Amino acid sequence: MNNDKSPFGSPGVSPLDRAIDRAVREMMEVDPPAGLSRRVLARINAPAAEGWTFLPRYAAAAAALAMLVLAVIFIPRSPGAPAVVAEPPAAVAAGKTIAATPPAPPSDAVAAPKTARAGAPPRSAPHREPIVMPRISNVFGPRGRQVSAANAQESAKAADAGLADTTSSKALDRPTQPFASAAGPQKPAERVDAEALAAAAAPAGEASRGNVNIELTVVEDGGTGEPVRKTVTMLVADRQNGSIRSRGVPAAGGARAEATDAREDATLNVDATPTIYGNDSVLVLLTIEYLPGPLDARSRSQLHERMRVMVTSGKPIVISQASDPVTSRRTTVELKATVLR
Amino acid sequence: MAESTDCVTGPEPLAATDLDLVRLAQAGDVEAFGELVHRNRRAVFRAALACVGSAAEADDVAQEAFVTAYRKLHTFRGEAQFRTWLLSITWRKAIDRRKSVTRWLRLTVSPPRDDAREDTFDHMERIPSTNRSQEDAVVDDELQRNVTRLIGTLPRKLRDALLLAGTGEHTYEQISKMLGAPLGTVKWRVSEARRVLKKKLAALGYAYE
Repeated sequence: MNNDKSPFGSPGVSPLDRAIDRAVREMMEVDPPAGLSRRVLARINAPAAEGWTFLPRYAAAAAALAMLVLAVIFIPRSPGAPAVVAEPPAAVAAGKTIAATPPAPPSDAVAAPKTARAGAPPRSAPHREPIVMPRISNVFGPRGRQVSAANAQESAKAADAGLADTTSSKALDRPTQPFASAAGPQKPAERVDAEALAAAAAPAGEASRGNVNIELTVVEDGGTGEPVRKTVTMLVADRQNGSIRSRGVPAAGGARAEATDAREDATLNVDATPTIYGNDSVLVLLTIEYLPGPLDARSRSQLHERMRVMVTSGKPIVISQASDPVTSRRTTVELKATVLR
Repeated sequence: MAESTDCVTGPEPLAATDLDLVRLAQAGDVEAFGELVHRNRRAVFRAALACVGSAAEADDVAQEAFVTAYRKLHTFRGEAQFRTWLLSITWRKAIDRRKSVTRWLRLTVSPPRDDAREDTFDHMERIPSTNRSQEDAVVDDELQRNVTRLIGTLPRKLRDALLLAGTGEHTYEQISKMLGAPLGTVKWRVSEARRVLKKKLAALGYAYE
């Protein structure tokens, strides 16, 4: 031991110092195991094996650490795809209302069309909120059919009138084009337009965006004298139904005085369901039943109309003209829908 | 060359002879390097032992240090003593071993004593040196055991400096090179380690005037 350069060369001052010195000496004054030189030379003379001796020692730890890092990096994460979750219910929600279920309160249906309408990016991560699955009555849903409460009533009316089965999917797939009431299955272009209209309309359940003053004028022109104008006006809320039933009894002493049959009475029945689009467009579903009463005893004409019409707010438009097949009578129907806000 | 297991009381003369051996080893003479191993084995082993605390690990570290030194022998220019250069390599290897994951796993599986720190100086497999003086026998065995235990609880920097200084094989300059600390810092660490030990011993009731 080099006493000149190490403090351990000098005797400890106290027993504690001596105890420390002794403990350190006993710990450190240890000879290496025999054959160290031989082992070192063996490793030097076998460089290949020597290199491999390190591998097992650290390979396991390095491999475990690498795997841990890779696992952390590449742990698959669920992509947030609320669009996938949000978008489809638009059609499903439409199917739900068509199934004549109560229109309230389709919160999920409200959410989905909003997303579709605004084209907004998906909302919050789907996994954070429970996904409420809407009740599905028709998994196929209507093809581009406009969704509104009137459709449900319309189906019911058609069924009552003995028309084709309106509860079938075929009936539900009737075109939504306002001007193609008698058309068959929609063509793709029409379907797109109908879908756009449906997307533009306020979703079912949302508060009405205003009232629509519907003014229906029936002009009857018999060829002689002045045309007879009969006007029906009703105020109907957006996406709500309005109905008017009017009936007239012929005055006594007239040609129809002897008529006792109720069928001789004149009637004008109008059903209207307006839907506001944007600021000045209104889609009106109209059902008109007009029995003007016989002008003479030989004939009695009837007018039954049912149509969807897209009109500009406040602008009258002739929506139909019908000629009596027997007489020269011609009946024109004019519609004006005014949005009141 | 017969390998002697006799203990050498002090550091062997290094200067020219070691340098000559280094030149021969650099020229490819493996036996010359073997002589270098023989001459420095104790210093290397004890330096490794001061760091890792286990004779078995110290032996591995010593082997790795010598092999590394042989491979890097061409970088030794002779500006410093060969032993100093060799001890620097040894200390780095020992530190790597002390920080190794496998050693951490081993300590985790066999946790240290309750009163020791996490990187404690675990119990040492001592191969007693034959150079024990008669004076050592009169010291209280219980006190000795407490001191040994408390040395294992010292902070690493203090413990390393204290043990390296107590190997009997290293000078302060060599310890300074190994630890990468200034000479004054090394001396301070040794003194501080002793002061902390005496304070802890006093707390245990070992108060001597």
